Amino acid sequence: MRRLLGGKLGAGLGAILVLIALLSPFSGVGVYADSGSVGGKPAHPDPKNPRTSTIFIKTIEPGTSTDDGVEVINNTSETKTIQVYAVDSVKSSGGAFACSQAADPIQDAGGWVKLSKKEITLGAGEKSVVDFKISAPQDASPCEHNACIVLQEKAESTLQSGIGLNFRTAIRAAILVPGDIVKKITPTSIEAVTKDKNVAITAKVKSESNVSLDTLLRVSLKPMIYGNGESQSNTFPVLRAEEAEWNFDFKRPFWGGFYKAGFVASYNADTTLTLGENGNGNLTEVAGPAKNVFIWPQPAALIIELIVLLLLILLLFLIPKKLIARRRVKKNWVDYRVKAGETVAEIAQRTGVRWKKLAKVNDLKAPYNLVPGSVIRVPAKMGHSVPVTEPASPLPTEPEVIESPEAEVKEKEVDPDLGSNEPNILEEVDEPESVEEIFEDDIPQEEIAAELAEKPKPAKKSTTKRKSTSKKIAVKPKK
Amino acid sequence: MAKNRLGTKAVLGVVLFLAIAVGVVLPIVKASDTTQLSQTINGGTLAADTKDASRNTVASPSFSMGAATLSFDCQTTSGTIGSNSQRIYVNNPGVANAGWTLTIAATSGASTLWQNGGSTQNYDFNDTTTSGCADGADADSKAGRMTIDASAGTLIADCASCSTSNITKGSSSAFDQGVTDSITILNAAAGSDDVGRWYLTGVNVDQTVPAEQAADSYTVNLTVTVTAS
Repeated sequence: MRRLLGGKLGAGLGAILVLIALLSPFSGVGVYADSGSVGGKPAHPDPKNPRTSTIFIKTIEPGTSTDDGVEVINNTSETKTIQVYAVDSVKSSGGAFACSQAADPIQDAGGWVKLSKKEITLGAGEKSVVDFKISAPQDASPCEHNACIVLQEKAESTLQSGIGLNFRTAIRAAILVPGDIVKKITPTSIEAVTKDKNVAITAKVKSESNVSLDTLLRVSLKPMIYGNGESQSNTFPVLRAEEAEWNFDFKRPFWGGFYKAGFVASYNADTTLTLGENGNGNLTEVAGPAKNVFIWPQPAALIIELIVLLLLILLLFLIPKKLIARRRVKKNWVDYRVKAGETVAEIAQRTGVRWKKLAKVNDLKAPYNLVPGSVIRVPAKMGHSVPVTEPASPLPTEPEVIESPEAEVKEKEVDPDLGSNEPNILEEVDEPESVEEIFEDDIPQEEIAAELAEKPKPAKKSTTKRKSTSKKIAVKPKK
Repeated sequence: MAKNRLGTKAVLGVVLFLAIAVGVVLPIVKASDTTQLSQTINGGTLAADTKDASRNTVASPSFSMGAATLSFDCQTTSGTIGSNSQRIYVNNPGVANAGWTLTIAATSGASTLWQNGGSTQNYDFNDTTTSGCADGADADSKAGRMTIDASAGTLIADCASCSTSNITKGSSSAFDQGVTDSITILNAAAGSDDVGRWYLTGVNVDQTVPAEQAADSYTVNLTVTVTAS
């Protein structure tokens, strides 16, 4: 017992110890470290324009200059030598802002930036400011010129084959040379493509401005028939005189269907405002073109939709068939006054229809008794122009014996003494099987004859079995 | 014998108690000695880098293209930029509130070529003539075209309170000298998380290799730039 307790105690304490060791502040297990990066940001942002904490925004008259600085940061755990250089901006695919490479020739504002240092060595966690001067040439055109101040770790490539990757951080410098400023954005096109679980909508705009504009895009995907759909909005910079496009991912509608994709572009057209300034916040809205798209339903929805469609087709096929059958009954059938002793089976046999049909048309319920003198509808075919008053042929006045017409008779002991108290065989007839069966076209005479010829078979069978009772089953005469 | 075992367990219990004291109690006691704690959190910087699954920087990230055999016809090889062991990370510690872009371009500029070890054999990466199978009107006399499809990649938000909302992956684009010298990989709108860390894997790269290109190992250096916009 002690041994057992001791073992459990030891194991429990061991588990506690491990837990404590894991949770201990001295432990680094289970926590990933981020090795950090090098980069930078504007050293002297303008408190009046929050955007200047992210990018450099300058307004410089031609022939003048301005000073600023970039704060270079080494957030790694090692000493790093960081290159600092300026390049022109370049349009990336889709119209996004990008910076050209150090190897590319400088042709625009990248050449206006003169940095105090080309590279800087910083210890782990250190930062330092590298000053620079931006000078706009005398012939600088009145518009927004963009440059990049790039910070890149100095590293040697050891690449043997394939693609080697280098990384750098760039800070945009938007330099406005004042003059006639134009601000105009025109939405040009919209595309919608279904991709797996998403619908990718690409909205395109064209800038006719000579400055970049922060543009709010509101893209919507609405069903054409019913529902509100979905919309997304975002603000993107549109570079001057460039076409730009943005992708919006919408969740693919489960049921699919016809949708309308559209978008609206909004921007601040106030020419007195510089980048990052909102003024009174009034935006100019321009609606873009819309596009009708068919979105395929998701696979599960497609299966459900196909099943429903099949059911609808079946229904559309059955309803007219039923209507036609009813119309035919109404048109071709005539009234007939029932004589005493007549049964449904008998009349059906004479008029050439199934007894089930006759019962259905005349709304007869089990046990399908006919009241003498009542009027029922019967087909006026096969020469049966049955008048309301007289049947086409004389009917026997005595109760007629029928050997289980088109009915399955349950095997029952029949007491001959009970006579008329015997249950009517039609009570034991199965209910009509289906609408199709009841309203099927009238049966040709030959078919009826063949059907009647087959009748004796079940009757014989039942007769054999009923030897001890009765060979025939009587239908109660109608009173 | 049983007593000895009990004695051993008692010693073990004492050791465990001391461990608990060292692991839990001692730091509390130490903290109580401190009258004032100070902590400085330095502002970070918008940065992009290649890191492994433990977020350690990969010193010289490289990605292989599918092997090709010398062919008398123009052929295409494929590769992927960004894998689980070499993830393309973007960190924005709240310094790019109006959005940012992640773009890729050839390090040596628009005149870059795929080069073999001795720079004796090469082919182009930005010639779109005949889908890169023929030399076009650019300055070099080489054929070859590289297509990058970031939309095929997977973007993951790698922090507790950030998401990939309002960050879109770039469409498939081919380098085209003087027209498309830079390809957008990610585009973060102003509405994206101001403080966030994301990584991208599975960016498709297709390279058209001209017919009869000599068998050799070729390299090309690309630069990924993250820019606050």
